[in-house]
Amino acid sequence: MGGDKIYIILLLGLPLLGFLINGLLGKKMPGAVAGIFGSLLIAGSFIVSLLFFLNGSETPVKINLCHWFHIGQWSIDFSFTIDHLSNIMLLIITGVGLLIHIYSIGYMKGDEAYARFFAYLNLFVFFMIFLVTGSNFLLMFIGWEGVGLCSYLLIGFWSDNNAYNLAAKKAFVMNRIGDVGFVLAMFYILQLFGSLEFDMVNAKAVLESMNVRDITIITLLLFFAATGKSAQLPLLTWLPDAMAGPTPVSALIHAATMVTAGIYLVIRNFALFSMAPITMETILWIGVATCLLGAIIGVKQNDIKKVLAYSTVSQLGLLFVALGSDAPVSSFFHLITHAFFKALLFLGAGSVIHAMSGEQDIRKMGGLKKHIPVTYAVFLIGTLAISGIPPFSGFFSKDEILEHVFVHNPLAYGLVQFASLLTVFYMFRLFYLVFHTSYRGTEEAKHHLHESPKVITIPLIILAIFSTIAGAIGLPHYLGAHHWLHDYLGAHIFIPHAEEVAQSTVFMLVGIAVGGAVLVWLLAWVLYTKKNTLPENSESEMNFFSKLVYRKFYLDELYNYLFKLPVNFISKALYFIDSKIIDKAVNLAGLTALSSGDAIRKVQSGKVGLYLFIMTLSVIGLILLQFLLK
Amino acid sequence: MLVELLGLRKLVGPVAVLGLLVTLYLNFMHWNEEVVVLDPIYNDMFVVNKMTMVFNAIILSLAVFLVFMGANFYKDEKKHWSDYLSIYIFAVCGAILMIGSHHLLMTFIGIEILSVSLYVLAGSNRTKVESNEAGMKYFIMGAFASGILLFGMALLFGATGTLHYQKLNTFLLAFNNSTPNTGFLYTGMVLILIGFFFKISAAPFHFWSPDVYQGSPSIVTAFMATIAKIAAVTSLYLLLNQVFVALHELYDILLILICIATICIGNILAIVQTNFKRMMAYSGISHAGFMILGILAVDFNHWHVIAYYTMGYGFANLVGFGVAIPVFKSMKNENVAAFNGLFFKRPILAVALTIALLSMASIPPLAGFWGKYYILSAALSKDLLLIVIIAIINTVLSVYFYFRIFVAMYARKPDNTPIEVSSSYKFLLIILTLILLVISLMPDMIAGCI
Repeated sequence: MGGDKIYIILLLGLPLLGFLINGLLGKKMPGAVAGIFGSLLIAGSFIVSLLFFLNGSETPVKINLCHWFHIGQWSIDFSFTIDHLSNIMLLIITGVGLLIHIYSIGYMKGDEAYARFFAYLNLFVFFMIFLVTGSNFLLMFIGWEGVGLCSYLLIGFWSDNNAYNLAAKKAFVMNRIGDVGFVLAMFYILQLFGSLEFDMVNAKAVLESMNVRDITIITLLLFFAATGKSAQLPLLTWLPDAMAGPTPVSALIHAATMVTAGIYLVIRNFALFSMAPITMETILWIGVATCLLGAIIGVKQNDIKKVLAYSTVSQLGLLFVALGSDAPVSSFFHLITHAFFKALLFLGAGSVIHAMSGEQDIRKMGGLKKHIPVTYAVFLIGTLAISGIPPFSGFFSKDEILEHVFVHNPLAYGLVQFASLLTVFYMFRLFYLVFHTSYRGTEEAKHHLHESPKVITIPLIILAIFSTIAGAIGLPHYLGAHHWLHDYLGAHIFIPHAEEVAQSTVFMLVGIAVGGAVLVWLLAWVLYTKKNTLPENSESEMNFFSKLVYRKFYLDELYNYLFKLPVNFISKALYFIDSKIIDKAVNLAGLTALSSGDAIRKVQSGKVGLYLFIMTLSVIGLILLQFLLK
Repeated sequence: MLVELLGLRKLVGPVAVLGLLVTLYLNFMHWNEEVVVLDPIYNDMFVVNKMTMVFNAIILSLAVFLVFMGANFYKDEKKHWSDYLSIYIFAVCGAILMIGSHHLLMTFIGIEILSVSLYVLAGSNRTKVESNEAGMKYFIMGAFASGILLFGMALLFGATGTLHYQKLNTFLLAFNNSTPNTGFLYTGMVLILIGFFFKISAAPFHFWSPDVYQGSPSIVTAFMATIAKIAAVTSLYLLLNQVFVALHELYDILLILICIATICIGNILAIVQTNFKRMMAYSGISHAGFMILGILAVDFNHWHVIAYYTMGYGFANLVGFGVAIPVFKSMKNENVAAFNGLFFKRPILAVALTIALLSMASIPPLAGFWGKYYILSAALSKDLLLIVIIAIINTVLSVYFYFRIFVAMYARKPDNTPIEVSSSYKFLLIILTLILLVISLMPDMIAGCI
């Protein structure tokens, strides 16, 4: 398969090339060259992904670029898998990535580190492709770490602001905590299965009856890694802070692609996961809790990006709920639609922030509808899609999940349904506060109000179109349609057999979801346009519950007490031990080495005669030794 | 074949490069022939097989880059460039002769061709006292070592009646203690080994190397640290495995002692150095220790481990000196302090040097790490646990002096002296660094295909 090799090299190489060239020569590039160049390369990768998709083979294609190394009896290859799962991920990464690159050409215009931004963005795409195509855990881990690094670099992109640096650090540290799980799982898998290849591990897990306890430990560790990357409880607080990065970054990394890596990890190894019921239950309930928590916190946020961030947390929770209910296809379906509409919402928010000259507080917006009509229209589409109003894409995917959860666990269903109604509420709250009512911002910002240039609006329009129609890939059976995604994915990954749900139940669920959503929509409309309610301006005006929610359930403070302080204490104690005892010992060793070095150095005086004398002595010594040994 | 081609070298840079590349190509011509091709011209004295091809290829590719670097180094003295170049090529010639040799006399001639060229090169900067001193010192001590080597050969010849590798091997395999002249034989072997130890600067025969490395023009130091050392190690490896393998119980202990001494002395003394070239000399000594460990532990049919190690070592050194040369030239200072703030002045240079030194400090996943890993795991399988422990402790120690350079490059304030580097030279360095990275990332592939 020589052709495939070239394709995969192109696929990975183009973004990497973009990183190298933008990173090394970017400073010398005039104007938007770096951005256009970066976008073109991503377009190249997108075309390659599309070619894979169109010429897709029936069986997964495994491309072994080369052997990497072997340790003992274990051997690791540089090999990549293109199957239906990774192919769709590729299309999202490069497709949405391309749109966001184009958007950034306009959005980042005038930034002094313009080329650096695109270099990082290209590098991110490279690692993300690496992550989804790598055919074993180790390659995936390289991508996993790589995207984490890029995320860190981009969150702290405007490094003049110290708060942003702290946010970047927090994201990095929290991700590292999760990575511990990944690494441990890798070792365990290697030990148990003797291989890190996904196909080998999953096939072996199904064929040979493995000890359930081992599988449970492995999958729990992997899931722990996923909670770090995909911002689930308990490792979720970094994601909202990550909004410090430029908005296109939030859209690409912290909404559409990187944060879904955890879900991808689970789907990729679903055969393994479905053998561990305890893990599946854990996933379900962590998902439910995160989904609910994110939605509740989202209701009280006043920063446009923070609202969207908590919404992302909540939606990611929903994806895990689907996984926990044995419905990987539905989860993946929602992952796809979510990538479109959340990218759309973030980019729309970026356009709003752009129009407002950098203002992010929704209390200072309002009435923007007539000033930025295009953004208004696409944001409305995004809001409708996330709220699950038919016929927008979110409706189909979310409904499918709810249906599975209902069958699996009615209690979880109730909570998730409630969370999704909250989603409708806070999204429309956001929407009305920003675009309707009257303008509340400063006069100066009002003066600058303007619609964004075409380079920004066109990607928005394209994303809006996809947010509307993406549901078509998974139309439900009651519409007499064929669930394309189910069959497409089912060909290549393990999908548990789902129970049939009675038609009437399905209709009831759809009725509850849509009816509820519309009611909540009306409620939001009444509250925020008719009654003109405004969020409280200061914490003192809030009652206990609002305050609790506003302060995000004091999660940060809790972590501070639970982890940061003890860790600080331990580190201080260790520092004491280190500096007073270990350092002394090390210094002593070093001193010995140094002084012995000095002693030998004296022999090295530069006098040839002395050298020759020592050499002769050594010669004689060695010969004598030889005779003694004989 | 190779020698003839090289002997006719014209004296201009591009031609030299072309010649080296042609040689490289000719070298690979026999790649797919598994059989050993003995060259009849030299009475079985010269052999071409896959192994010598690989080592020749390493030497030649290093030489090509050295010529490029040399063209830059001698930019200011165009007049002498052709002279120097011819000597370089001559030395490369000697190196190839050492590797391909199948007869001790031929080996000796190769060593001498290489050494004499280096004596001249070491003293080539006539205006500098240190250079003169280096050349002189190197010559005196080198002559001494050559004498020992030749004396050893004479004794060996007296005992066995031949110096041809194959015949010697046959003789030694049939050998037992009742054979006459065993004293000659043993002493001869030890003396020959000592001659080689000198050439690869193994302790306690290493005294020349720091002084000579420091005094010689930097490009010559680079040459000595890479090509000369690799050629000598390879030659010793071939000699021991093709000839003295029957006596390995005897020389093993010798090698173990030398190996431990070399690794320790190299690392401990490197720590106290302030001069970069001197530090590299000691680092080179400790690497020589590892190569000896490789010679000791790696089976003859796993020779690619040695090839991999030398490859990683050679390219990392080349990158290191490649960065150091323009820095020294601009800073007029060869101390570690010359690198202060390099990252802020020339980020590309600093990153290249970082990668090279990380590789030498054997930080995974760079070539230095894999090379050491292979050698140490081979040593473990030979039950050389003690050496492995000593080697690992020393590897940790070595991180200290490599990191001093990093501290200088990244943490110290830069001064105002600009570092002059042409863009073509930067390109050369990038290529070299990329090669090093490729070697690093594909250890199995490279070790597998050679």
